[in-house]
Amino acid sequence: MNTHDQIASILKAALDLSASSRIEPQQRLKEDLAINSLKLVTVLTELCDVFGIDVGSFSVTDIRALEHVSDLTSLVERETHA
Amino acid sequence: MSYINGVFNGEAHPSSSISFFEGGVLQRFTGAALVAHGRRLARALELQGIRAGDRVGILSRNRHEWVLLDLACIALGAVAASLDSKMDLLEPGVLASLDLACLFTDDERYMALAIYRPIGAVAQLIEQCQEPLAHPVRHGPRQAVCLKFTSGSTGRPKGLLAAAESIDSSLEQVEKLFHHDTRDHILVFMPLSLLQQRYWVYSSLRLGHATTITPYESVFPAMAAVCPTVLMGVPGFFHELESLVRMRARRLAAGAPVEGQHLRSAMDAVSGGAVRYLWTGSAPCPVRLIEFFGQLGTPLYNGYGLNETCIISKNAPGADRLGSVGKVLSSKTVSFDARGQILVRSEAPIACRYEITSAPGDNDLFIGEDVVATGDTGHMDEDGYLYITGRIKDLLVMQNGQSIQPGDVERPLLTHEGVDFALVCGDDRPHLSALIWPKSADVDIDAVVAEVNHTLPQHMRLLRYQVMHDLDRSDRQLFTSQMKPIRPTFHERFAQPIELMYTRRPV
Repeated sequence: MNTHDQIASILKAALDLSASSRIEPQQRLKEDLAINSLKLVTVLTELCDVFGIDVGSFSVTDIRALEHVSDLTSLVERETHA
Repeated sequence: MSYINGVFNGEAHPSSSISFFEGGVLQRFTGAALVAHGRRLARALELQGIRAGDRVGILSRNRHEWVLLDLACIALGAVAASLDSKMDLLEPGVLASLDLACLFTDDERYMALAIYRPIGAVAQLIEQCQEPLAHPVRHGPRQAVCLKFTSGSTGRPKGLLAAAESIDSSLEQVEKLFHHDTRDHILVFMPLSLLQQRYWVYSSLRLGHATTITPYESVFPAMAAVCPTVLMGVPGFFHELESLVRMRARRLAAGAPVEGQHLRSAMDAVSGGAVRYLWTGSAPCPVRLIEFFGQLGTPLYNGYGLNETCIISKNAPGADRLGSVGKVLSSKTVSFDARGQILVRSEAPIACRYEITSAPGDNDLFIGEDVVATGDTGHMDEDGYLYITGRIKDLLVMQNGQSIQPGDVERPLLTHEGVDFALVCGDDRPHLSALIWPKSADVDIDAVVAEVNHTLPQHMRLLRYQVMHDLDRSDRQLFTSQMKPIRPTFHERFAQPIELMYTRRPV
């Protein structure tokens, strides 16, 4: 499973979406998936646990800059390749 | 000794510690060190011309400097104007109404203002001023400690000057219920602009418990790092905590059915494993959520309060009833008017009027010196537990003359696991309808409405609904800081879908 697929799987779990739902890289977190700031922090925390990223790695600036699903993928890849 | 006066005119408890967590880094200060820095900052501000009664604006995310400025204002007798990041100070008339002597902020939009001070420069001010303020102010009971804000019905902020005795009274009442001591560690992640969050700093200095402060974005890493015993959050936060715990539990179960032990282990892993209790309020909290955390052995205590009254009632260890908002505090007296509206009398009121108003009539809720008309309807059971049933201002009077409290229809919708938010309409209309925001795209709202309608009497059933998307709960024009919907704005913003529900034939 690639990074995007793993992230999509976490998003589906966090948003209570069915397994057959489609999560695309270009989808906007807020407008398309209705992820508010509370939910986004939950998603990031779960991503850290699944990918073994230090939970303190993401700065407030990192988090506020997230717009699309692909931004999550880039952030995770940045940390896992660091 | 008063909590507020004890900050500078007493001694910080030797066990007191205040820590700040961000970006994975924990910075810890003893209470005594923080007070000493606050006193030097007070002197630095005094040298800049700030005097007792002056308003010092603070607009920033949670950080060390926020607390130091708050303490310095207390020492000086200045008023900490705790501004919400959603406020736009550049909107015409706002700055003039605030009457700030200076503004410490991390928001560079305000750099051009003459009163602008970068909040990051606070450390430098302390460094440059080695002498502490000579004589910290001793607050009188009704002396204002801070200016706190609440959303107005127009979306513009209203401001209250919070009296010292009201802060002392609330903290004393909280201690009677929860008995915090040196074993407690309270994690603060909601904005420090909310006065109640700063209470945990004052109580740490007096009682010796630890307090860690973090921006919301760092709340979960902070939990794992400091293992708090107490967490205070709005119901929306506890929804997220539940979501995280369930996701972790599913992974722990590794494909097997999720059981209680998985959920408890997941909760321990997420929270640090030391939680004694969870505190919520500010918005309706579904019974299901309270039951979930109760089953994990981490009770979630719901309560009730307004910006204008502070805490009115609270469930607590040994006095906890599901569905209620707890027993009324001994410093408050609750009565009901003819419409069932909750009236609250305080022994030590926060204020008896808004210092800053946003619309004519804002002060109508203050009745005399010490009573607030809450606008909420409710009742009390035979054992003294208070229940909230709706909003008096929200009452819908349909075209047939039938009066409906929209909350009576919204509550069963909101407690449904598939519904994120719902707003019931029907004032001067032939029937009730609802705008419904599902939690996800695959929720069958037809089935949800049918299920809810089945539980309601005929005259309260929904005949139409409209599925909605993208609700921003941080929008202060739609929700108050207490997360109550501002219905006139909803009706204005969503006029088109509402109209659609009444132009289509009911089914």
